[in-house]
Amino acid sequence: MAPRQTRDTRATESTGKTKSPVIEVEGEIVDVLPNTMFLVRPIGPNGKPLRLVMGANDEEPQAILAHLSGRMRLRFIRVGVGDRVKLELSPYDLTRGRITWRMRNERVD
Amino acid sequence: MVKTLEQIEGMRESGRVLVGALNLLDSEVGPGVTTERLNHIADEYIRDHGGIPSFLGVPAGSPGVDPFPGSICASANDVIVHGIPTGTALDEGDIISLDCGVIVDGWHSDSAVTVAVGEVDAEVSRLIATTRDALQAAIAAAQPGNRLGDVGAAVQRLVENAGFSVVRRFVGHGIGQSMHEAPQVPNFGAAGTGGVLEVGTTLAIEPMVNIGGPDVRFDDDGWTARTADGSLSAHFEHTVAVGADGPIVLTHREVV
Repeated sequence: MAPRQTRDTRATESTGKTKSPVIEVEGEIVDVLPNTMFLVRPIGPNGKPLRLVMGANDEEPQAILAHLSGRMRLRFIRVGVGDRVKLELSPYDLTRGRITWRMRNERVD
Repeated sequence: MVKTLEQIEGMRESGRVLVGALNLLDSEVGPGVTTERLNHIADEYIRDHGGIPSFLGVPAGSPGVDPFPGSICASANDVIVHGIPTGTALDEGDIISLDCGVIVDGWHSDSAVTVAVGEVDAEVSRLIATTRDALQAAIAAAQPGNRLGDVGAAVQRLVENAGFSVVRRFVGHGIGQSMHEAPQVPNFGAAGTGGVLEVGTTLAIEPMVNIGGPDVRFDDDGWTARTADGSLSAHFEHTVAVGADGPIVLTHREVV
């Protein structure tokens, strides 16, 4: 049964443009920095740390410097150490990201 | 949400019941048969084989529309998808899309075929063949590491090269513990765009192809979606898992 297409994909269709490419990963907040910046450790679908750049290893997992998306700041979504979040990364700079979603605590799979 | 191998096995089990139902429907289609009758046959087969028909009672997307009343969608001729089974008999020369979904042990599967009733025109046969080929092309594009846009682009290219059009109003979908999960799987788009297909992703891929234009209009029942220009439309669908070695069709049928 085919669901109706929702706005996300329709928007890109009507303008003929596509959203600039982003890589979406999950991560865990490891540090809270000033100015609503965070250090986030990316986590793969298998629950293990995700290696995105050369040089990152298991002892020293890469942390991404991430800011809160504007929408999350408007909605006062609070994010703290240990929270699972969704991140958008630019394919051009995998060391910085934007936090777009805070996961619910009890994970519903 | 990506699935583990065991979870995919659960979905395969669900797919087996669904394939049995579709095979039975396929053999029953003929002039004089009503879609209500086909609905009854599918419903009975699924329940006899330990499944639950998942389409029955699906809530409508728009307010004021009743939940879906059938266990199958029977979409004849210019109906693209979501045709409600009725007492009207099929005629020689009609085409009909039979779309069905099953739940076994909490796992969903969803699949559709379009079949000709008796003899149809060459152009109509070409429509059906093109739509089936488009589904195969989409499945072939569902390789781990590919993107959703690769799947849509494969359908769009094949269909538009054949001179037909792809419906944009409806999309395929992720599937698993619910019939409709993220992501949306459009049958159009640019290769290299969209979400990455991880190993363990499970998708219902369903190209809908019109002989004429891609536009859609709805009947007053709020479900039945027809081509705006009245041209014929075909629809094929499989539930597919992205495996480490490539796509796995969980609703594979020997005949299609």
